[in-house]
Amino acid sequence: MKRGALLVLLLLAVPVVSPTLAQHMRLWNVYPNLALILTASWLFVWGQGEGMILASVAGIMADMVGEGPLGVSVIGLIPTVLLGTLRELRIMEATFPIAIVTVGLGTLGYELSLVMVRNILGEGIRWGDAILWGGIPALAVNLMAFLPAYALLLLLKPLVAPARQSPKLGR
Amino acid sequence: MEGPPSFRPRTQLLSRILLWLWSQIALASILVLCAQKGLLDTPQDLALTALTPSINRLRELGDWAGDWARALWRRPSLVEENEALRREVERLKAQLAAQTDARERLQELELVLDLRSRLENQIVAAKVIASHQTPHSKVISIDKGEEDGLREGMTVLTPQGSLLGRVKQVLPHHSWVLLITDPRSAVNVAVQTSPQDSTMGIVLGQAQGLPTIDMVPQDTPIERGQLVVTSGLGGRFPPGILVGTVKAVERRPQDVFAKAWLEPAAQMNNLHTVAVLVSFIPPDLSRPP
Repeated sequence: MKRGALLVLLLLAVPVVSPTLAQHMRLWNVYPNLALILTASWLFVWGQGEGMILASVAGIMADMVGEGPLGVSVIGLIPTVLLGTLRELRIMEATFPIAIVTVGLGTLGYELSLVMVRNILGEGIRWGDAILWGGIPALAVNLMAFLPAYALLLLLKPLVAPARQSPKLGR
Repeated sequence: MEGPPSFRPRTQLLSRILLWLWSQIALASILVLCAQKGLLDTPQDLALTALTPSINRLRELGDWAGDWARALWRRPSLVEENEALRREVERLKAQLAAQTDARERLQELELVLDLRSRLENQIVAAKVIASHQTPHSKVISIDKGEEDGLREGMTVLTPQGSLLGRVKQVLPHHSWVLLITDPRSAVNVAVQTSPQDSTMGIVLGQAQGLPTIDMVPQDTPIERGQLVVTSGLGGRFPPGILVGTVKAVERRPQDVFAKAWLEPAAQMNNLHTVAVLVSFIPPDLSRPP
């Protein structure tokens, strides 16, 4: 219940904070992608199943106040969730390095998907400029913003979803 | 024997991911297509209306915190800037005093010609709700839309009257404005090279840095500090609107055209109110007459 409330609160924060407070965290002309950071953090704290559902809702919420057609961010968040499956495959024990790789490559995937969809719609965005001035700075900014967000969710985890007590065996 | 049971979780995971991927692409495609047809304009407009009060409060809070942070960071240079501004105010006051007489005469003429009321009706003031400025997209959303008389392509100005951009998309009560710094923006301009002469060019927004002024012939006496105004060519913007000043010029012998950079007159990062020129509707050149 508490976790659901937290999720709703964070989802509502995406369209409100993105065009306001996030703009003040601008670095190299880009600001943190809150939908992507929320999806990746939630995915690594509470598992891939919830991350998959969250990606759709967070994408739509982000597009609500954006100029791109509604649905663009839903496509943009696909690489992040797909990369998040690396954790489920258990190719390594530690989660943190996989989370960093997911956010980094997920950001590049997001930017490339966005440019691809917009170019299909005839907006004529240059790929080179988009990667050089958009993708690479966004990668660094999202990684910097992901670390505190992920740490905060890890801290909140025991508060909003306490671990279940194991059944007592014997007498 | 290690066989199928150990692969089952991975197979299940793969099929779950494929199912999710398919549904995600389908959902996004439906949303994009519906948005392109304008079917989602009303829900999006309602969402923006609901979120606007919270966005405005957070925006004010962010501006306040940002101003404080900037003031602390730039304290020494602020003292110098304050001194320079005081001198500038003094100079402008003197200029204003000299122009008062001319302004009074202009007001009389405006009254006679009923120009003022006509000009006031041409502009719709709008509040900036949100600003989205990334390297490949520089847009702002405003709180006026189709029901306030706004149409796609209309010219958007700062309250001081310099060019900001044009209306890109219109919802019933909200609109998006494409700024002149956006890489998708192109504005036909005239660079005032002397009081009697000007040269044509095109201001193109860039992903990084200042907009450029392209298509200016090499032999044109274009210099830093010259005024740049809209030329009216192409019919997208009315002529004579201040766009900015020439910031720098680069001439390379092998190039046909000189390259110049524009310093926009409008402050794009700190916009609160804009003016939409509703009387000027650009012709739709995509369709035959």
